[in-house]
Amino acid sequence: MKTDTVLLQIKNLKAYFSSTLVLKDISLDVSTNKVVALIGPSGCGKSTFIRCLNRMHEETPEAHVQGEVILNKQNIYAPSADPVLIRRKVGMVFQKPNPFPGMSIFDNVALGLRLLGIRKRSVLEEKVHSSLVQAALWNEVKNILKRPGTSLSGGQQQRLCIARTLATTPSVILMDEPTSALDPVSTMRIEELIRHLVQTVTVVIVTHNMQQASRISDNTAFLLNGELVEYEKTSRLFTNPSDPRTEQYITGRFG
Amino acid sequence: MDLKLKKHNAKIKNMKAKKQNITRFRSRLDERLNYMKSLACSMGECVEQTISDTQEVVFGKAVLEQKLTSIKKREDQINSLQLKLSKACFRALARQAPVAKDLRLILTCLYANTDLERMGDLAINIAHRTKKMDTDSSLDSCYTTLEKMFQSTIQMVQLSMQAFMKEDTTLAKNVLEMDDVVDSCQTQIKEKSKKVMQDKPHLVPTGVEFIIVSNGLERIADHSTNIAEEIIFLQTGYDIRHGS
Repeated sequence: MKTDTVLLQIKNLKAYFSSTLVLKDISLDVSTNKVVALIGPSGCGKSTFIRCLNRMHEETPEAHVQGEVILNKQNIYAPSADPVLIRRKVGMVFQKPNPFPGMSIFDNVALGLRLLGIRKRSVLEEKVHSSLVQAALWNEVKNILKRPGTSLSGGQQQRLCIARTLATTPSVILMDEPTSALDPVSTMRIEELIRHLVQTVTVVIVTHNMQQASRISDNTAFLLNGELVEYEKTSRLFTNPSDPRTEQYITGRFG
Repeated sequence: MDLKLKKHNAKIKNMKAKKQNITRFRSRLDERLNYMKSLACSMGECVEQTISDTQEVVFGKAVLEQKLTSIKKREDQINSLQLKLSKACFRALARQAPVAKDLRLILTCLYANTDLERMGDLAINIAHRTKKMDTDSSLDSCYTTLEKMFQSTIQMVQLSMQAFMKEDTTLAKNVLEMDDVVDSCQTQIKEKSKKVMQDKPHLVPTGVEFIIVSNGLERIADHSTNIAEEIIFLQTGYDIRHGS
C-alpha cells in the first residue's frame, strides 16, 4: 500500500500578536501532493496559521512564533533559516488577486526569477510559459503577454498570481481564501487548477466555503479560537466528524 | 472617528449579519428536516395500518372487500407520501448542501422511503392472497404462528418508526433483535405447512399461501431492520449492513 510522505510537520506551534496568544499549540502533518483545507469561524486563526508556514507572520510588528515548522526535514524557524528562501519554497496566494501594477503579464511571472538573478531571455520565456500553462492561463494570454497584468479579469488575475508563485518552483503553496472575490465560474476554474497542481505541489488552503473545502481537499483541519479541534480526512470530517464542535460548525449551528 | 475603531465596528456588524444569516439558514434547514421526518412517519403509520388491516382480513375479522377499499386508499397515500419525501430530500440536497448529520438524516429518509413503500406493497399483496386460504383444524398451529408473526412484524414497524423519530439507537437495536422472532416464525410455518401438505393434499394451495404470506411478512420485517440499521448509521455514521 502506498504511504503518504510527510512534507510539512507543524509541532507545538504557538503564534502571538504582542502578548496575545492566537494559535494554541498546534501540531499537524501535511503530506506531499495533498490539499489541506483550513476551516473555522472568522478570527479563529486560520490566516495566522498559514502565515506562520512561510514566516510571513513575523512581518507583522510585535508578532512572534514558538514551536517548529519542519519543511523537508528542516525547521523553517531555525536561526540559520533564511525567510526569503523559505518563501520561495512556500509560495502564497492571497484573497484578492494582486498582480504587480504597471507590470506586464510576462513580467509579473518573471519577476521572482529575475530576483533570483536569472537574466537569460530564453530561460525566462521557458519558465513563464510553463508556469502559465501550469496555471491554466497560457491559452488565454499567450498573445497578450505584454499587456498589464491588471488588465485581466479577476479570475485570470488570480491564476496569474498562481503562475507567479509557481515560477519559483515552490514545494508548498499557501492560499488564503483565493476564490472569495471570484464568481462561480472563475472559482470552479481555480478549484480545478488546485486539483491539477496537487500532482506537483502541496496546497494548504484557507476557505470559508465548506463546499469548496469538501470538493477540493484531501484533509481538513477545523480551527476554533486558535485551537486545532479536528484534523481528519475530508471525506470523514464532512460526513461523520469526531468532535461535536466540528459537527456544529459545519452544519451551521454557529460561526 | 478613529479608523481602527471604524474598522472594528464594521467587523462586528459584519459578524452579526453573518450570524443572522446562519440562523436563518439553520431554521430553514431544520424546518425541512422535520418535514421529511414527519412524512416518513406518516408513511410508517400508513404501513402499520395496512399490515393491521391485512391481519384482520387473514384472520377473517373483517370483510375482505371493505378492507381492500381502505387498503387501496392507503396504498395511494403511501405512494403520494413517497413522492413528496423524495422531492423534499432532493431539494434539500440540491439547495442546502447538507453535511455530517444533516446529510445522514436526508440519506436515512431516502433509504427509509424506499423501504416503507416496499413494506406497504408487500402488506397489500398479502391482503390480496387471503381469499385463497382455507381453514382446517390441521392448520390451526399455522394460523397461531402466523398471528404471532403479524404481531411481531407490526411491533417491529412501530418500534423502527419510534426509533427514527427519537433517533434512538437502543430502540433500533431492539428492532434488529426482534427480527429473529419473525425469522423463527417463518421457519415454523414452512415446516408445519409442508407437513399439512404431505398429509392432506387438498390443502396444498392453502399451505403454499401460508408460505407465501409468511415470506411476505418476513420481507416486511427485513425492511424494518433496514430502517433500524439506517437509524444506527444516522446516529453513529457507521454502516452496519452486511456485518460491515
